[in-house]
Parts: sequence; structure tokens; C-alpha cells
Amino acid sequence: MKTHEQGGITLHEISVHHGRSHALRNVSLQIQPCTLTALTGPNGAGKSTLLNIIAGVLIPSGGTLRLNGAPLPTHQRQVAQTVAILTQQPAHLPGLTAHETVLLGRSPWSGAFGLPSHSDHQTAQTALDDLGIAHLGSSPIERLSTGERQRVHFARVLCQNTPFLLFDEPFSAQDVDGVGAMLRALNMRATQGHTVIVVLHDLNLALGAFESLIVMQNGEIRGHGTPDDALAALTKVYGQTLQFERGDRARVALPVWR
Amino acid sequence: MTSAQHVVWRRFRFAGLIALVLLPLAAALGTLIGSSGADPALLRQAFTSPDSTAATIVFQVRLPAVLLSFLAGALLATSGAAMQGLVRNPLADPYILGISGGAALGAAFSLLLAPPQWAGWLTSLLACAGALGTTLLVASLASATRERAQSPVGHNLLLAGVMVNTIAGALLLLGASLADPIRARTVQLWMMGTIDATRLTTSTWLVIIGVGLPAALWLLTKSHHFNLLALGDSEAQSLGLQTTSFRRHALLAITLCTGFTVAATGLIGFVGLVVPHLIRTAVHADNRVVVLLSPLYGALFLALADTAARGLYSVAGSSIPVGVVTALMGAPLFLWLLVKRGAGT
Repeated sequence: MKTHEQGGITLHEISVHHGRSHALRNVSLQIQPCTLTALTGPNGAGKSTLLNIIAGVLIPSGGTLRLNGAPLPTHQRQVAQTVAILTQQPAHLPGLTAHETVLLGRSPWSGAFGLPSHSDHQTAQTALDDLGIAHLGSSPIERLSTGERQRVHFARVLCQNTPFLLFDEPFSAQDVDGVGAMLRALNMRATQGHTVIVVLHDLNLALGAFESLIVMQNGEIRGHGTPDDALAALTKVYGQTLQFERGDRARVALPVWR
Repeated sequence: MTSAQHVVWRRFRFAGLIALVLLPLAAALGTLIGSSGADPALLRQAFTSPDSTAATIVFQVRLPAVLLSFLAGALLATSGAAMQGLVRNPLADPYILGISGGAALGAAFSLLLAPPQWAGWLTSLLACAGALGTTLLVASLASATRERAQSPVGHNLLLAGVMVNTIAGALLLLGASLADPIRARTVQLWMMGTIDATRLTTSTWLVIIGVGLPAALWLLTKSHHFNLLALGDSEAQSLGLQTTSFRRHALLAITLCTGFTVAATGLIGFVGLVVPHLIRTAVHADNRVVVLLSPLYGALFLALADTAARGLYSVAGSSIPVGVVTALMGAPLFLWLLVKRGAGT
């Protein structure tokens, strides 16, 4: 029973500090496996820092991290087979096509010279299809718009196909179709057994499309639970500017600009 | 869709085959053309009578020179391609980043001060130490400024490199002007780069083949890592690359390639800059393609440049350093690429 409880992501008293300022203060968190979780909070709350720690890109000053009950592997390649992250502004290699960029997501699984297999090509193609950008496959990445490029990088992370998938503001440059395609892809991954965390600022989206929400502020967790549970924390954090309403089909956050 | 998937491989194979066809032709041209111009009779004589002067010229001067230009060209282009991938900047190469300059400074020490019988191995050793020293200096300067300015890796490395290069160049000229005229002349000639296999000692050959070449081969086997680095360090790391240790190892390999090449040929610029850039534009931007093809085309480029330098000797009547030819061939080519690329995007 105990091992069962330790599935998913377990953080225990994780802190990060640069000199005297804390980016994270003793964050303890349990995220259930196979869930789609939204991570939100004001700028500088420590959301990206937390994501980078789970991805193994950033080493915390203190505390422990467990993914499915085990600490992160020591070899970076094994880490990359466990957890994938989309950072906020990934760079690209000009001259590579969208398809070739997505294929880079298969790197942790490929052999000498990173040569992709036939099934790698198919995985990449499926990821492009999922995001509605199959027609852009052979376009040079530098010719794409910011939003299209963001979808390509999103597809690359899906293509990495790890049990844990992390996204830092993937919707920031997306139109409605893009958000829809991304959400469908994420929901599908969660049903297939992946554990997904998405950092986002759109509270309506967080409340409407995610089964679980984490609210952060000043390097601490303010709330974690279903959208209904999270409302209280959101009101505390954003109470000055936002008014939350519960409609028939969704909860909405209305800005009150005064 | 299937054709789009294999486009990289098809282009790589095509460009690789062309290089493999052209390399023997370049070797033949290099053996045919000497400082007295093209001379087929000399070549015929060399093959028919093994004891003749012609045989000595062909087998002990020209062929080793071709081999040296192949080796040096391959190593310079490989380290240039690797450096561009490492700092994510197509303008980077060991020559511009001051690593070649540091190697030259180290080598000049032995050329100016050491007794001639030591020159062979001491030049290689000091060149490599100089290259290593500048690499460390440039890298630490770049990271020191980066922490304060929060700017990307490549930018500061490039600026620090250009300045360190200037300092190394000035010190080199200072040393040459203080030394006695004969040695100073050697250093000056050598600063401009020469492919002269007769000048090399066995130890110089040994280190370039025994250490420089394996270092370049190692870089070739890691060529796919440069594709990951292009996405940024955290992305590369999350795709399975141990970025810190890879950067360290790759810099060391680049330094070894550069140091031993400079010890053997002096300062030859633009091979490491132009060849990878040319491949990137003409063949494919995939770093595997760029890094793997660089040694082939680098060898080709330098062999042709050296043949041209010798051919020009018969016209101009005085020796022309190959570094001058590579600069005159390379810089306009680079500018053309820059303009073309600027218009395209």
C-alpha cells in the first residue's frame, strides 16, 4: 500500500536559494500519477524553478525528489528517458525542418549519431498530427511563426514520450485551436499513464481544463487540489484584482481593474 | 513524407561522395604542381627512376605536403565546426576565439628562444599549452562576464576571444621584433601559415597523428550532441546530454586539434570558419552533416589553397604563405555567404 502511495511525483522539503533570497522554501508536494496538473501563481512565485527541479535540470539546495518512488537516475540519458521538459523559450537550429526538430525529442532513445529509427519518424509524425501542424513538417523551423514554433517544440517534448511531461507556459503564443490541440494531446497522455504538469497564467483555462491545480506564491505552495479546492487559494493570492464566479459549466475568473 | 525524412541522409551521402572523388584529384594536383609550375615530366621521372632528384621532390616534399595539408585542413575544419556548435554561433572558430593565437604564442617561445635541436617536440608542446591556456582564459572570462550580464554563452565568448587574440598577436609581434632578425623572419613567415613538410620533425608528425587526429575523430562521433546544444543548455540536458562535461571535453578536443595543427603549420585562418559555414549553407544545417563533412572539405580546401600558393610562387617569384591564400579565398566566400543568408531570411 505504501509503495502505491509513492507513485507520481513526491517532493519533500525542497528549497532553492541564491544567496539570501529564496526561490523555493521547503516545498513538499505529492502529485498523483496519470494526472494533468496546472501550476499557477504570480510572476516570480517559483513555478519554473519547481519545474526545472522535477526535470533534473536544476539541483535544489536541499530536500528530496522522487519520481514513481525512485530518485532521479544519475545518468543524464536515463533522466531524459524519465522526464521531459519544455522550457519557456527554447532555441532552435535554423535550417532544420519542423519534423527534424521534433525528431530531436527521440535523442534519449537513439543510438550512435542520434540516428532515428523508422518508428521514431512515426512518433514524430504522430506528434505533429496531434498538434495540427502535420502540414508544416517539411518547413524550415526559422520560417515558422512564434506560435507554430511553440507547437513544434511542444510536439518534440511529446515525442520524447517519457512517463513525466513538464511544460512551462506552452500556451503563451497559442490561438484557440492551438490551445485546444495541446489540451487534447495532454489529456490523451494523462489517460495513457503519463504524469503531466503545465505552468500557465490563464486562470480560466486552469480552472476549466485541469483536474488538479497547484497555486504558488513567494516560493511556497498556497493550495493544491481540485479546481474547487484551489478557488480559496486563488482568491487569497489574486483577491485584490480578481473575482471568481461559479457558472453552470465552468468557474470563471473575472478581472476587476480598479 | 518519406522523401522529406531522408533528405538529410541523401544530401550528406551526395556531398560526402563528391568530397571523396575530389580528394584524390586534389592530391594529384598537389603532386603535379610545384613552385616551378605544373611539370608532368618531373612526375613521370619520379615514378620511373626512384633515385632521381625528381623522386625526392615528389615523394619527400610534395606528397608529404599534400598529406600535411589534408591533415591540417581536416583538423582545423573539424574544430571550427565543433566550436560553432559549442557556442551556437556561426562566426566562432578557434582562430577567431584566440585559441590559434595562443598556440602560436606558445610555439613562438620555442622558435625564438629554444635551441634548434629541441624545436620539434617543444614547439608542439608549447603550442598545445598556449592553446589550452587561452581556452581556459577565454572560457573563464566569458563565464565571469556572463554571470553578471546574464547574456547568452556565445556572445561573451566571442568578445573575450577577439580581445585575447589581439593580445596574443601583439605579444607575438613584440617577441618577433625583439628577437634576432633570422629567427624573427622564421616567426613572421610561420605566423602567416605554411605547409612545409620538410620543416617538420618526426615528433610533430607523431603528435598530430597520434593525438590531434583521435581528438578530431572523437568530435565526429559526438556530432549529434551539437544538435541538442542548439536548443539551449537546459533543453539539451533534458534531452539526455550532460552539458557541462560535454562542453569541457569538446573544448579539450578542439584545443588539441588546434594546438598541434598550429605547431605543424603556423597560423592558418578561415578554414575552420568558412568550411563548416559552406557545408551548412550548401548541404544541410544538421550539425551531424556539418561536423562529419568538415574534415573532408577542410582537407580539400587546404590542399587546393596550398597548391594555389605554390602555383602562385611560379608566377610571383617569391614564396606566398598558404594563410594568405586561405584568407583571400575564405574571407570573400564568407562575405558572400553572409549577404546571401541575410537576403534569404
